[in-house]
Amino acid sequence: GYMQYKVVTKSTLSSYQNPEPVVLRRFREFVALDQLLKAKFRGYFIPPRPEKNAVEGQRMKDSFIEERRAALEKYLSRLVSHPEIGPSEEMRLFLETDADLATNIHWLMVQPPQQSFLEGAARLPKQLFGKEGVPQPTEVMQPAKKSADIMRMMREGMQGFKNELYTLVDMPDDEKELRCQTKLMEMMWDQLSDSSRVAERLVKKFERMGAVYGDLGLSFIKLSKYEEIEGSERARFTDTVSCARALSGDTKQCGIALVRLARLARKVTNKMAQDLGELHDYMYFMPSVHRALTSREQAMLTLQTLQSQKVAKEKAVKEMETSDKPLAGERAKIRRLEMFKAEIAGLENSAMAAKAEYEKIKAVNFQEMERFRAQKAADFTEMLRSLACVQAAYAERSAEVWVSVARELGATEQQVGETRGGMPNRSIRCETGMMGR
Amino acid sequence: MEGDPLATPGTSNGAGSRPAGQPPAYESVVMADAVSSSSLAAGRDSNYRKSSEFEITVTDPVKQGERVAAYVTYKVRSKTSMSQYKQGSSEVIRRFRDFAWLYDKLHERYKGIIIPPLPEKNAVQKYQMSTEFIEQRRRGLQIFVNRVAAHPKLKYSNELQLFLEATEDVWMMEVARMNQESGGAKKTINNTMQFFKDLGHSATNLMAGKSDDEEEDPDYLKVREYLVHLESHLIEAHRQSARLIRKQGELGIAVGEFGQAAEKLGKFEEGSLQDAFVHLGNHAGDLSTVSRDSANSLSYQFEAPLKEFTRMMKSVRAVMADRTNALSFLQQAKADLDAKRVKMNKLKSTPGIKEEKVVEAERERDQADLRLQNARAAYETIVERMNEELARFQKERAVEMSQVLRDFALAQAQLASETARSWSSLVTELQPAAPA
Repeated sequence: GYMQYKVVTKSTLSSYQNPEPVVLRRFREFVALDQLLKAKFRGYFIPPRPEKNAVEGQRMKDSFIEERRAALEKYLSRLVSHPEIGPSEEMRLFLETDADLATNIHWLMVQPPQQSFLEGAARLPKQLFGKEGVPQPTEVMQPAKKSADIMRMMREGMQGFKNELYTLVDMPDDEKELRCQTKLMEMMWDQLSDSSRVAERLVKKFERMGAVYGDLGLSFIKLSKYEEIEGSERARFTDTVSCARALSGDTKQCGIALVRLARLARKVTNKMAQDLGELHDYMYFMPSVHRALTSREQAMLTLQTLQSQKVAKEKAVKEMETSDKPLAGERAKIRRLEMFKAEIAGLENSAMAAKAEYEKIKAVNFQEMERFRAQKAADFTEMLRSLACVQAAYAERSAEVWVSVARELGATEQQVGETRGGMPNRSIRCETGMMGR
Repeated sequence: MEGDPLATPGTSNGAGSRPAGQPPAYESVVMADAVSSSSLAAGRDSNYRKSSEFEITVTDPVKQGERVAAYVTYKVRSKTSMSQYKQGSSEVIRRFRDFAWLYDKLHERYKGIIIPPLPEKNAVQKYQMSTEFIEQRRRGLQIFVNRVAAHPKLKYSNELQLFLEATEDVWMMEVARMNQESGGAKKTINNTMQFFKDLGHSATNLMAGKSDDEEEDPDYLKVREYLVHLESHLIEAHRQSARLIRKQGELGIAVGEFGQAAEKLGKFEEGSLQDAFVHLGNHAGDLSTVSRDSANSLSYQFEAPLKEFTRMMKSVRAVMADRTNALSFLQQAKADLDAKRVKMNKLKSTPGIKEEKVVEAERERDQADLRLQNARAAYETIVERMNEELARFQKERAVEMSQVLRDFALAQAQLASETARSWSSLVTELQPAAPA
């Protein structure tokens, strides 16, 4: 069996036939959407889709289904908030088409041209003998995939290696800029992984501390109850009734305070996990950033490969024109020259298309980087603010609770004052809404 | 002695000094006059926690010997106003087993008194002899000897005096002599037990033979049950307190690590947000330090006293066992006397019995009677002492527990306060970074 998820959309876009479409989608249709977007929106930072791999036994469990549902919802929300992808035809088809996408004609029509592995392999011998021709403009718009145009891949592989050798010296400034950005993003990705891991440990340790508060509180409450019941009874034997009552009272005060703080700590733990989850989200977003930036490098590679092919062919033509050949091969030579000139023209067209593609992706990269930076700054600022507010409020509340317990147990005002270190009784201005009794 | 060693116990070791503003350490309260405003302490005529006649410190731990044979010596300085003491002040060197000797001797001689507990004998930790372990032990020993000196009966003991005053050679001589004596006394007790056994008194015989006024007080039996269960509650409370300190420490470390990672992440940001990450790193570092300090002081102020309560219960159990033994001893003596009396009467009424046999039987009866009287006296002493001791124990425990809990609350309040201050100043620093 398989699960279907109900996708309910509200749209104000005029392109939508229905302002509130409701459709049923299987997980594999989300996967198809992701693949489509990656192919058609090269250079864009595309929000990552939820993980595919589900353990066989887990797939039908309620908790897993709910987790996946929430993840898919978050995924779609992020897609529709993207300025280019959101209003796209691809998104509209996904959200509106009331049918299985795999067999829907409109959906199939927006798919990019694909070359299967077999087709690519079939072309190989012709290319080796130079009879096949040159890559067509539409083909160059797609990066050389593993399953197609192996020859192109080999050529482009060599070009990339050459780039490394000459580093960035020969590149234009904006390309250099983006390459530096890419390096930075890689480093930031590492640091994000580290931070995310450390943040998770912090949340776990906070949770454990809260749990221990509860355990200690309970042991105090049990002790106090025991003193209250048994202790008072026995106290008559030793004439220490008032002692037993005070003992149980003091212990109970402490126990209750600890249990109260344990409850509060649980809420704080949840909020912390939520806030610091931002780090986790950004870590999972980095592959999209990286893919977008490297797709531009691939496009440049394609362009350079075509250009160098053209130069090689032009050089060959020149050699043929200036060399002395016996009269017998004159007709064959002319025919060869004509063919080469046609190929050069073809390469010229493809190179122009490749250049256009490269420039487009570059522009998109700049745009997306800017948007990404701004979004990250806002998100991280909010994360820090929320974290600090919640921690401060929790600590203030703890201090209040403990001071009141200390007073009950006979602490002097001087002793109480010393704990505050002279800080006035200031409450934290924070919109957290969770610090109530 | 230089200065007032009791105001800041252990400072000669550099340990025990606390930052200004901390509530007084538990042990300094044990040593000093009662400062608590608890209603129980008010109006007390005698202060059980500090003797008005003694000032005693245990300081300067010094490692002696090598590896397996290694041990630590401590300097025991005392000042006293007790007239029975030869010197007004003394300074001696003692090691742990000397303190243990004092405990054993007091337990032997003062049946029915709850002897203050010694710190752990833990063999493994002792072998490692870490600085922390030695410091914990030193504190425990200081509290032990001060409690003995403050006890209304134990303060007059010869054993304490010997412990505080005797020089090396005198100490070793007296210890050897006392050990021989009590070794003999132990042997006597064992012999007597054997004696009864030899007479063929089975346990059931003895039980069947006992009379009503040789039974245990039913109220006492209920108190005994209460104390046994109380011990398990106190052990649990101590266990959780140790866990709390551990978890608080671990949290502090995690906060510090998070701050460091966050600061590195902040390098990829700009302007005020980058500053904010730096601030986070700084505050997290401060909090980490504060947490660690708090955990350290809590282990002395909170965990150690709770541990001591559980050890005190062991002493209580020892006293209860003494009472039970004394009672069964008394019961056996009574049964034995009855048996001897019966035998004597039988002989007397036997016609043609030899005179000497009757005299022998009468003598045996007289001996048994004497034994019974001694046994009864011993038992009744214990009962009387125990009544006083249990009352004292409950009252002291109540006040000390209140104090420990109060200090714990104050320490937690302080930690929370500092934590709040740190985070809220980060909130303030973040305000300009907030988007419009």
